[in-house]
Amino acid sequence: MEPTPAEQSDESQLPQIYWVLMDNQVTPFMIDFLTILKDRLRNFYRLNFQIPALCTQALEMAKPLGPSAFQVSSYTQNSMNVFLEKRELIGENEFKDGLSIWRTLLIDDFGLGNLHETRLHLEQDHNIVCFMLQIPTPLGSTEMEERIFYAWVYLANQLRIPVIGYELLPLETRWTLVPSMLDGIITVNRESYDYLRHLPDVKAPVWLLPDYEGRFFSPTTTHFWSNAKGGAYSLQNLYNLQPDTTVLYIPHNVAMSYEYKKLLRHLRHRAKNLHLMFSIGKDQVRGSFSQEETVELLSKEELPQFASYSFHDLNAPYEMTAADAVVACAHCYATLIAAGNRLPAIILDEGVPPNTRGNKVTVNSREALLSCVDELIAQHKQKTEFARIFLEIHRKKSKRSQ
Amino acid sequence: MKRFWKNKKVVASIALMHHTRFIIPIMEKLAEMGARIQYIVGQAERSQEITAVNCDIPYNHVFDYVKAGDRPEVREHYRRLKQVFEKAFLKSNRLGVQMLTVADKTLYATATEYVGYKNFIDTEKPDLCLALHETNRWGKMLGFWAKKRSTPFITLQEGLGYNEDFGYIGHAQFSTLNLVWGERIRNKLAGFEAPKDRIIPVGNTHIAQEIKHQRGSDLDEKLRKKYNCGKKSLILLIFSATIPSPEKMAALFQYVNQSRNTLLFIKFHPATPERKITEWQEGVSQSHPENIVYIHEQESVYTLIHACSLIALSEPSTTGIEAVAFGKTLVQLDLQLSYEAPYSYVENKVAKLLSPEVLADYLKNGRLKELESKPADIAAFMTNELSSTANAVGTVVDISRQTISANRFSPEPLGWEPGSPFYNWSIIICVKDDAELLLKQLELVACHSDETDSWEVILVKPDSVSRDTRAVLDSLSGNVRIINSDLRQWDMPGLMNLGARQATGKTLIFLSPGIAPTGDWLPAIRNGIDRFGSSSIFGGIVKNQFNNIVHAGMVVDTNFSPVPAYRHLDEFFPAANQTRRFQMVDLALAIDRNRFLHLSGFSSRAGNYCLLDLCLHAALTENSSHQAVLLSDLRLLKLDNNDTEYDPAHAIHFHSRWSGHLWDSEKKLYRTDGVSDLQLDAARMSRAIATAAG
Repeated sequence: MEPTPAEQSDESQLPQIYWVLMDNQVTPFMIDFLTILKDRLRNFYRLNFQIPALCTQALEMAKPLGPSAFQVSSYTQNSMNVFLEKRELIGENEFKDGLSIWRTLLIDDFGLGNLHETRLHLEQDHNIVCFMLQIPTPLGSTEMEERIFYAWVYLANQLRIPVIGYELLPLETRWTLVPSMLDGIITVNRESYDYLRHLPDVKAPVWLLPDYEGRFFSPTTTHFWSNAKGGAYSLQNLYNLQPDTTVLYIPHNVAMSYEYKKLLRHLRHRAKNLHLMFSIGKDQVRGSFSQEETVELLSKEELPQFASYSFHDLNAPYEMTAADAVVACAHCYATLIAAGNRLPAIILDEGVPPNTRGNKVTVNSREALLSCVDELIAQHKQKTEFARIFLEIHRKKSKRSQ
Repeated sequence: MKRFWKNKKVVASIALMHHTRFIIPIMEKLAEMGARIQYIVGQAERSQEITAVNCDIPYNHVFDYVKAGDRPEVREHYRRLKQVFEKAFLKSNRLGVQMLTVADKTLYATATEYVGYKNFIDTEKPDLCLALHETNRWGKMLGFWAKKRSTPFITLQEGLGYNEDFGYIGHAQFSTLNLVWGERIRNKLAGFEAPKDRIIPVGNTHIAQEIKHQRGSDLDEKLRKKYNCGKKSLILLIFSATIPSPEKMAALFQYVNQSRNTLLFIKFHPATPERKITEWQEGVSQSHPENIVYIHEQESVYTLIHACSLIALSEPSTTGIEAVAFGKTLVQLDLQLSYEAPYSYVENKVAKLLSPEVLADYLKNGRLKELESKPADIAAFMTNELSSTANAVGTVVDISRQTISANRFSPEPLGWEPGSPFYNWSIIICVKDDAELLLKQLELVACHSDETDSWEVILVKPDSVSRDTRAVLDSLSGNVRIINSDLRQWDMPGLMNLGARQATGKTLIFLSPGIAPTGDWLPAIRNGIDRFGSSSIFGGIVKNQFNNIVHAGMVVDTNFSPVPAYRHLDEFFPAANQTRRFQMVDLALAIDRNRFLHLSGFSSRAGNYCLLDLCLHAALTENSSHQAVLLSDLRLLKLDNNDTEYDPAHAIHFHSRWSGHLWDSEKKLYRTDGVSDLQLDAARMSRAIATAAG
């Protein structure tokens, strides 16, 4: 069953998301975002941040999240019994031409009778929806992170608690063992999402975070994104945006009122799926009309057809991070900022030849514009916010335990 | 010899730098003799390419043999491996010795290498493959593909081999032959599970040359000069993977520090990370800065051994045996380290076990002489550990030649024509010089061969036999012929062929020494011929005096060696008592005389493997996998408990010729028969108890 705020008034009774953080896995931006996320979900889930006691940097950085520290210990052994157990685990599996797998890999690569077990010392707890862990990658994780990661995955499997991994370093690599072992994979890069979704041996659901969440799980996050944290949530609340509504950022310019009116006339063919964020300047006054009024007056027929629209100060360009793309009628400051921050930008400019450069597309016809917008809408539908991911996991887990 | 090696291609897999010392001398010798040589390296966390570059040898990376078109196959293998390990990792945390992502890289590299080694063998078509061993994935995969392509694969010995036995499981699985240093390691490997007949002691392929090299140079003098040793007495302390804490060594360091006449070299294991060494050194340097020289890889350990008068080990290590071979005094330090190495130089009486404090006392009081081992103990140790200290490389090269020759062996026709058959059966027996056994065997032949049937007995005897045996032979009468051979050495196939030449039976029945018939054995063979045709080879169920199965058809075990099916079980164990085809039969064999001639008879080179060899040759000639038939109502008895005599030349010939044809069939047989391991264990246990109870 999904939790409801009314049922979950006592925080200690809330279903918990165990979120494991370690040194080398946190940035101040990420902590800021998680603080907001924790707050956003406070009526539904308790985000319980777990950090190994030896990760002093992460513990210090994550203080605003109120983390719990847990102890980790190692246990090693070397015996024939361990070897026999390992052999049993691999079984009589063979390569297709008949070469035994355990004989090929167990004696040297997988350490014969050597055992290295990482043990987690945790308080007894209940009502855990899932464990959240950063997915280690072959070219970017420390040994300590990896060992603790595996200890949690193993524990999750023992306790039948779903374990969800999220991407920090790109997962679009040839090595996919770790993603295959998870119950859910949260990606932040479209490449990883497309790649993992189509791998036949990755059975777990793969989600793609919207940029306004995913960007915080990247070592390349900038202040631009950090300044915008939570902006998308406010926009959703204010305009009651539905999950399937695609958001376009329109850097309106009064000097190009005609072109922007034409742009909206084109976009109205997809209007019910779109929310428009107009950027406006306070000094963009023409006669007695503010820029806001100019937009509303000139496009009074088109605007009501859209799901909703809003106006934003052009001096706060980071607000564009709440959008799926910037759509402009000429290259401008906003398209440059978008391109620099890896946000898609579509420029409808009949005066220049059409072209595509990275995530920036220049088109010169209505058809081409709508084709791009259709793709944006389709891509938007593929993105899932943390809150919806948690609900989905929770629903599945509840069903499984019924 | 040189002509033999011309245009022969030999490839060797190498991995760690410090292990190449065993392979490179062989390869260099082969190259010198005209062979084309090539090294292959695999993908590893510790680069094997660096080894090849440092050794300045021609090499290829196994990935060089994986082309774009192979990618789907690589992905398929990777997916398979991943499924297996993913399940295992989630089920238990026993496999977690490697980090997951390292495991993942290993799996992908393995999938790629699996295709790479196949392509490597198919592309290079070597005449011979060498590897240090096959307990890592590179050796195992190279061995597997070599065997698949019927290419001989020879492995060696990595080091002292002092670990627990189970660590060497599969040490000689795909290896056509495993050439080890001495009898001790052969027995150790075979004692656990390895096929003893394919493990041949040849000596250490490195040490003899190294001793010659060191003694013939002034490297020790240069070392002394480099480290300003003057006339100081030099001690070498060798650490293995575990570095003991400086505190444990304090007394020794203190002595060295204060001594004007001693310099201590501390040699770290090549695999020890530099960082670990620096940290350790810092701990020592604070209190003992003088007269200690730290060596990682900047000096040859052999120059150090040669230059030092005393060698001290922190753990049992291969360098210990090398130090003894150099004639140095060896000390095993008693450091109370926990390691699971059931090997002791001390127990072998070639080293003294001393704590660092006691060693320091010996040094202080100039009592080094007292630490020397007795020459007789050293000699016994060396014999057991190194079967040859002089020409191991030469032996390996010679065995390699025999291996390649056997691999391409094609028997010569016997050169005689079959006459018209006179008897139905010719029973051919080689006379082993054991009068009692021979008499019993002949009594049982007479007793169980129907007088109304037409048969003859042909006894072929070697050049000389004892008086007792001669007396038995002289006492025989009736349809028995005794053929004298001039063979001075025991040559079963030679004697059998000689008997066959004289035989006038339509069907030849060969009985190994000590094998005798029971029951109506000739009608059983006749029924077999009626049912399966006269072109088949027939064998029977052989039991021993305890009524346990000695032979019920030959299968190939997990190490790809022929073994009797259902051995040690009760002779009437239901699954074993079935008439059916096998790849081989042993100990006794019936074959149509014309067919025997067509197959060129037994191969002398196969020695005691000659019956198996004939079955395999028959199957090869007929392009079929199974030419032999086990007749469940053909019952035979093994009269003695003797094992067949072992001659490495025969093992070399048999395994080199047939390696590509011998694949695990034992498990398959038991699976087909619906017999579980548990049932087999229980049945063997019950037979063991019954046998012990008499």
